[in-house]
Amino acid sequence: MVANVQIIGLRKTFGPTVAVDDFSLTVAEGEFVALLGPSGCGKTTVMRMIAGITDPDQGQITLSGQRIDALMPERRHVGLVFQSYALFPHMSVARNVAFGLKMRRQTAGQIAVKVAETLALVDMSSYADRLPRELSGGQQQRVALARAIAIEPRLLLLDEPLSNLDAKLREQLRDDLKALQRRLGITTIHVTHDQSEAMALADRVVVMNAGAIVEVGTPRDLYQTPKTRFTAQFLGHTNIIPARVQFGRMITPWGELLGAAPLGAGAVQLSVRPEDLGLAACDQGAGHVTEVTFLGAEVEHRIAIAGLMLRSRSSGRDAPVHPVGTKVVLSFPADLHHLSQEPAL
Amino acid sequence: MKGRWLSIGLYSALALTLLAPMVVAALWSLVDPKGGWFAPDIVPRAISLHHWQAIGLDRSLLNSIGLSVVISLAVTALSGLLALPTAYALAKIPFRAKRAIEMFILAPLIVPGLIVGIGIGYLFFRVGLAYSVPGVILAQTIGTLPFMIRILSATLEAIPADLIFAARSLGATPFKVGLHIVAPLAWPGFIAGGMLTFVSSFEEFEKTFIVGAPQVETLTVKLWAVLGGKVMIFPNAAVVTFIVLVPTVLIFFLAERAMRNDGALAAGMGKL
Repeated sequence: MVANVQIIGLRKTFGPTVAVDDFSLTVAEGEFVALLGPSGCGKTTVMRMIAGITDPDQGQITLSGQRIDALMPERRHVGLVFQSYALFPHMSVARNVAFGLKMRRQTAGQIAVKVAETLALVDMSSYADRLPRELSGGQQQRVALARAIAIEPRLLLLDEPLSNLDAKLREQLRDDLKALQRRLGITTIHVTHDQSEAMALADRVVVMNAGAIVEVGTPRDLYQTPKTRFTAQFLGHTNIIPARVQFGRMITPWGELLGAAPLGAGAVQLSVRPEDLGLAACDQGAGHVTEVTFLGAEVEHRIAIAGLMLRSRSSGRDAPVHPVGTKVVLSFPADLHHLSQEPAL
Repeated sequence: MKGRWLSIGLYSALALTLLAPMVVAALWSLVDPKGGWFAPDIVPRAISLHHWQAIGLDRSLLNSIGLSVVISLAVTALSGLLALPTAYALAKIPFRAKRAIEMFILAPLIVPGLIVGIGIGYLFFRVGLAYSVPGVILAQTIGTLPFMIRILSATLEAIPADLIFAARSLGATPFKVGLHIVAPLAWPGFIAGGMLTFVSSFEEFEKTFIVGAPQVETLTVKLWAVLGGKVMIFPNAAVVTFIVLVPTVLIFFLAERAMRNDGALAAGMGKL
């Protein structure tokens, strides 16, 4: 029943604005893919086109070989979970979950069994007779999830499902969602603007900006070896350092990086995560500390060096703290990474 | 403490504007014609059911009540039917000049019924709808339609689009969405709009009088006659007042009970 997804050349305009342009993506059976990007990047429009809420101007959407882009939403057999939960306010939890089954003309007996089974999956069995307004946000989202998976959809679409919840609950529900998705093996497309959510949940992340795909990859690849500045900066923090490769040596604005393997050719942009940037106090250091922030798990130093402002983070209770004004030298990881798809600065 | 004073204030205002006139009307309807009721008496000298009996004996009154109920029901049904598509379009479909059209729809509320009545009275006379029940129903519907459209569109607007999309994705056809989602969520609007329409139709006088009288004699037209033409006969008027008031009070009482849990009546009315 679970489907793979193939999207080719999807395009959608609203008046003069291009919401989505040339969007192509393949999702394997049982895979969990996150569409990640800032608000207005087109990720929700893509999701709505897959669900059938919005009609694409161009392109194809195929589920396991069947074209669905011209089908009515009720014929697509796709589960949908909204940020707003969208539970039917006049129906009990059980009737909400039963709704999709009823529309599929299953017998009362079949429906009762399936509803009980699905509510148990999301830990909401004891709330079957409640009305949505009597539930907390987290509970409502569990019911919304149950309602979507009760119909055994070929594809599950999640539109910012955790965004309305507070931080603790969000993490809890995120873990439950992941466990449930792995267990049921439903192909899932998850739309979010929260990079940590995307990385924690997804097998693959699709980074989007201004209606187009910027980069696709596993969370680890995108975080550690982003090809674009946008990805590097959208997934956590990074330091972008313009550099030149000359005669096999890596030259930064403040001088040569000794021992660094040369990357690319000519001008490059290095991307170094704050946690990978080490620093040590040294009177001859080219940089100096301008700000120190204690974040609990980490200490963040801001360092001014050759006109750049860099961040360094270190964790653990023994992490050194250098007072503002301290002269420092920086240390870089052995395998430097540069943004291969960025033009030189 | 603050809340209690607020309640006392509101209930006092209610008593003053609603109950006081009713008490006076009740007393007037019970005045014994032999004793009369003159200043400085606070209450009439003698009480009798004379005026109630006199009007009760008038067979044509029952006919008028029946006619009024039939006309009001027809106006309510017609308004609901005509208002639904417009209300749906205003609530759910984006189009240009929506604000202007909304104003246009509400315009009949601003124009006095007398002016509308004279205008359509002449028109209806020309097309043969004057002095007929269908003519009166149409004339009244012109006045009630804005209420109905406004209340229904407010109700439909309050139904989130996500609910409809969720239902569609779960396999519901547009018809099933209407039946299982939109109708149950919008019914308080229908009830509120229907009640307002029924009551305002039941109480409507100017347009009914111009288009229908003297052939179509609804209760309000009848009331006009009973009032006595040039000089008001207070006791008679008081009796008819109560008869006109009965369906209004009855309907609001029933609706309030039916929708106590939803608070939808207040919500529907509040968005006027």
